[in-house]
Amino acid sequence: MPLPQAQRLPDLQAVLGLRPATFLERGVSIPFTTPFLVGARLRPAARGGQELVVANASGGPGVYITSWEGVQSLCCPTLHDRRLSRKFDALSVPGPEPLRRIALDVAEEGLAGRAAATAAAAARAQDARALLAMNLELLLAVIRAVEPREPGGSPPEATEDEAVTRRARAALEVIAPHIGRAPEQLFQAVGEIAASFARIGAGPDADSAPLPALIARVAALPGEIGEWPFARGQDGMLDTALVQEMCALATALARLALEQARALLGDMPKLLRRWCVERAQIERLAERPDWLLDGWERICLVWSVAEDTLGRPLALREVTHLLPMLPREASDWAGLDIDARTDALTRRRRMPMAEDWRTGITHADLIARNERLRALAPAGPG
Amino acid sequence: MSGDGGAADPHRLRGEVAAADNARVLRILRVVDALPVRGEADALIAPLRPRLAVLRPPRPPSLTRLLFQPLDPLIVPGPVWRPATPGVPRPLLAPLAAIVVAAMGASGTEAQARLARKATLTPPVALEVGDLMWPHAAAVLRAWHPTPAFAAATRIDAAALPALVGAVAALLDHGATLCRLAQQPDAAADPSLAGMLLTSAARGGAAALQMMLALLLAHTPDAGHALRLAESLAPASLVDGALDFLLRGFAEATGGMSGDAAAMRRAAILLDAMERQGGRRPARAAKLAVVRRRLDGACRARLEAAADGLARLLPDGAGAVDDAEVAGMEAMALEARRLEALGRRGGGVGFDDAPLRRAAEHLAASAALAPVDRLRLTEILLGPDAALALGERAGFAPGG
Repeated sequence: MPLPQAQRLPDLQAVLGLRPATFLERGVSIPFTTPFLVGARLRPAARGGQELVVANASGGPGVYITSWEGVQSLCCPTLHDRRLSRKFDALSVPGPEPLRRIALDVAEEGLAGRAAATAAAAARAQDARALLAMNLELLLAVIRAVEPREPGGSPPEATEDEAVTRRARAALEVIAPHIGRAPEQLFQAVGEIAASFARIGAGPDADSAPLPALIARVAALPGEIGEWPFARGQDGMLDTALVQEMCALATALARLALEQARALLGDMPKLLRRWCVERAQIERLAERPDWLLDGWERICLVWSVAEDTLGRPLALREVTHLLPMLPREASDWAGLDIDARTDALTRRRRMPMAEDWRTGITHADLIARNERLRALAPAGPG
Repeated sequence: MSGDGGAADPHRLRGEVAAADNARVLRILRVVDALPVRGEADALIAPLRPRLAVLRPPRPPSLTRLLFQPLDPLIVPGPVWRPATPGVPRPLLAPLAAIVVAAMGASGTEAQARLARKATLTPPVALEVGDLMWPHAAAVLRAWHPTPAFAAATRIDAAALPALVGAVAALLDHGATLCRLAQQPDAAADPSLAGMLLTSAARGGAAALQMMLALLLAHTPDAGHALRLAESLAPASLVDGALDFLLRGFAEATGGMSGDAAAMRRAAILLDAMERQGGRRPARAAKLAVVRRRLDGACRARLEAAADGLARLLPDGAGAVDDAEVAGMEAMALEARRLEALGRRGGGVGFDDAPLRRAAEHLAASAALAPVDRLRLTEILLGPDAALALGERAGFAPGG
């Protein structure tokens, strides 16, 4: 792999003590495959466009804040990452969901390998199923809100999908005058709400939706790490403790955000009314679990493939490096004063993904491992 | 084999076997493996062992092979073995296995039966059945005292036998862990594990500690760390003995130096560690230089072979290549890349990426590969900038 040329080295200074106030300022994680860019985050630049927050490659403290052009002078990005950059450059505001869509597009092109391309197509199909399931749940909720429950009457969930749509449209006819919108507009709004809430899940299968499933995996991670002797030994103890704390914090906050979002679905007439007048606010509420879990998918995957890729000690170091910082906004969302362990995270963060002669890990091996993660989670950050 | 129907001259026979091509070697091995009692046949295949380490043919399950699998890197031919080295003489193995099985009674028979149901001795099979055997074997051998008759039968120095058998027992205490180390060498980088194994072996005596150190050094990707650890636990003479043993193994192996990139890298790291540790011994320095030259040569040969192999994986016609075929090509390209990194790191004179370039050019011209596959293979072999240049020359940009 050609090294960056000396004359191209930029005058970048590592920024120390970065403490983002909001999730947007922290940035959204990107499923880069270039080892140097692992853990990088994309955020809006003050002067317009996007900028990247990249770990200090020297292994020292701090981060680089730079444009994609700056990144290219620091390392030699993979074709996959160059393609990603062209796509995210066109984003108006970066967020977990737009990045997911971009990640799927790029994975499907095959630049991270055929396995990642196949997995991306499967992920799209899964997204479509999750959307359909959420749409159906919302239509059922609309029916329940309007139709009186009669003993011996047919519960809406027992009817065919087509009949559900018919009964929901009839229910929306009843609701529409109270909201001041046409029934067709409300039917369309139900579809839009379903798209916003699809990853959150609702109804009897809610916990199998992507975000609740990810919360369960994050919650299980400390146990999986703790089973390994190195994690309890002198060398792994501090990292393990930090990972455990951050897992507990992330899962508690994500569960709370998930409950808050799902609570909105409990009163469909009210939600439809709010959707018509303050859609952006509802969308932001629905996005909160995604922001809180942004980056954790990769963390779980790094650990799950550690045994046959880089080994446990390096994986633990990488997991620690990837632990997302919680901005002050997280406290506002939860209505709690959270100790986000920012100082500890800053201290323990070390660039782990480097070619290492002693462990025999080559640059090409690191890329191959990252591509494997893309095949396991083609949409990238979870 | 002589094929004249008469009693063959053993010396000539061994020479013929040693000169046999790979296909014939595998046929000979099948015949020897099928013998109920191998006896002198073991000596016949002794010269083949380094080649077998590379060929890795599937071997039928044998209780002796299973029992001593954790010690594999230490096993040496009887005539080569010397007391006070970490080696374990091969003639010792079958008689010790017989003692273990006899002492284990019903549980030994059960393990044998379970092993007989397996087609080959794969690592999972070794762990499954070995877990039943190793703790018992360790206990049996620890309590057993070699007799003069045993020493005579195995032709091993009677004075050295008690320490040797005791050390084998101490290592078999950790049979499962040692087998896992062989399969997943990165686990040896765990300092707590290496420390535990060395400390435990030290309780079994100097011979056990030296053997454990040699095993760790053979498996670990971070030989420097294992050495530092050993130096804090063992006298310098023991550490030197382990290093000399491994170095001799490298020097004597004809095919063993041409394993995969990971195995060659471990050897190179070990050579680095030896160089740092053994500067005080000129004899070792000379041997190190020889082994380094051989490693460099093996690395070049493997890189050439991997590059040529990539070309051979391409189908003749223009038919589409399926996912598995592309995955195979990418894995081989990655291995070639590792070998190139290893060669460059080793400082081989004139080591360049010509074989990688040759392979990339061949693949780029193939109509059987989709444009994106050609880009990826070029990227793996030569990096993203070269892949981008290829895309521009061929008129396909990433992502269209």
